[in-house]
Amino acid sequence: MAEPHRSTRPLGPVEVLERFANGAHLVRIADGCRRGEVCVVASDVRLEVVTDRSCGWRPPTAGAQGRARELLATRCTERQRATYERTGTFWVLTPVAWVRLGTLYDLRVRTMRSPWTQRATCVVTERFDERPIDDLWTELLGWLAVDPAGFLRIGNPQPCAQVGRPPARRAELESWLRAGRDRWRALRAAGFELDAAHLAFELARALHVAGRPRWAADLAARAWQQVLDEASRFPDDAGAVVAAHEPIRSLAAALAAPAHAGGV
Amino acid sequence: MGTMLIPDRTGHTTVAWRQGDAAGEAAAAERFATLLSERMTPFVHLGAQQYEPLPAFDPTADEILWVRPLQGG
Repeated sequence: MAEPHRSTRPLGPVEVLERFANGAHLVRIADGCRRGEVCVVASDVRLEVVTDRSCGWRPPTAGAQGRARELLATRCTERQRATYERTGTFWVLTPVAWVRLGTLYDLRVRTMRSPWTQRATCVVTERFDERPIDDLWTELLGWLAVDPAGFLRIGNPQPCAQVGRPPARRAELESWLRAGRDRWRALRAAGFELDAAHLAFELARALHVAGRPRWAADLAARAWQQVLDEASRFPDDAGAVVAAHEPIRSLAAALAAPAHAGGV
Repeated sequence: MGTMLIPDRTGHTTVAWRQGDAAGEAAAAERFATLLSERMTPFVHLGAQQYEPLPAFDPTADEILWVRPLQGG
C-alpha cells in the first residue's frame, strides 16, 4: 500500500475506508476479481463509491475487544482458552487438519495427509479489520467446524517445515538434532506444548525416513507422551486430542516395535 | 430462548427471541433476512465446537452464530 493506485483502468465499485488530507482515498474494492483488496487511490482517479465508511469507521474499542474475547472464550475448549492466554495461539483439531489460530496472516496447518509438515496459511473473514480480532477467531472456529476442507482450499497452505532433511554424516546429524532439541525446549518453555509435540513428531519422521530408527523412536515416543500429557491436563477434550493425534501414536508404536530396536 | 450472535465492531451483538412469541420470532426472522442479504452466513450451534449451516431462519434454534465469508490472504 506504499504507492497510490494510479492506473487508468477503472477499479469498479469501491468502499471508501478513509479520506486522506492530500485527496487520496483508502478503499476496499467491492466487486470483480480484485474484490476485497484494500488499496490507496490517488486523488485524480474517479471512484464508483458504493459505501463511504470514512466518517463512521473507528477501530474497535477496548470494551468491544473484551466482549469479543468473552464470546471467543465460550466457543473454545478449556485447553484452547489456556493456550490462547499463555501463547496467543491455539490449535483446532479437525478431521482434515490441525490448524493453529491466533496469529493474523500466519496461521499454521498440519494436514492429515502429511501431518509431519507444518504449513503456513492466511485465511480471514471479509472486513475482519472492522471488528475486534477475537471475533475473527470465533468466526474461523465456526468455519473450521462446518467446512475444514473449504477453509484449506481458500488458504492454500504452503510448507514451512521446521526441520530440513537430516544430514548423513554423524557429526552433522548430531548438530542437526541438537538444534531441533533446542527448538523443542524453547517451545515447551514458552508454553507451546502441542507445537513442541508436533516438532518432535516432525523430527522423528525425518529421522525415520533417513533410516535412523532408534533416534526417531525416542522422539516419536516423546511426541506421543506430550500429546497424552496435554490430554490429561485438559479432560474436557482429552478424547478429541488423543484421537486427532493418531498419526503420532501410530509412528511411535511402529518405531517402538522390536524390528527397530537395533539401529541408531 | 433463541439467540443470534452477530460479530461486529462492538464485540458482538446479541439478538434474542422467546420461542413461541410470534412478534419476537418475526423480528428475529427479519433480522436473519437482512444479515443474509449482507452476505453473512448463519451457523447453528449444536454443542462444543459443533456447528451446521442454517439455510433458513429456525425459531427453535437455541443459538445462531453469524460469520462473514472467508478470504484467502
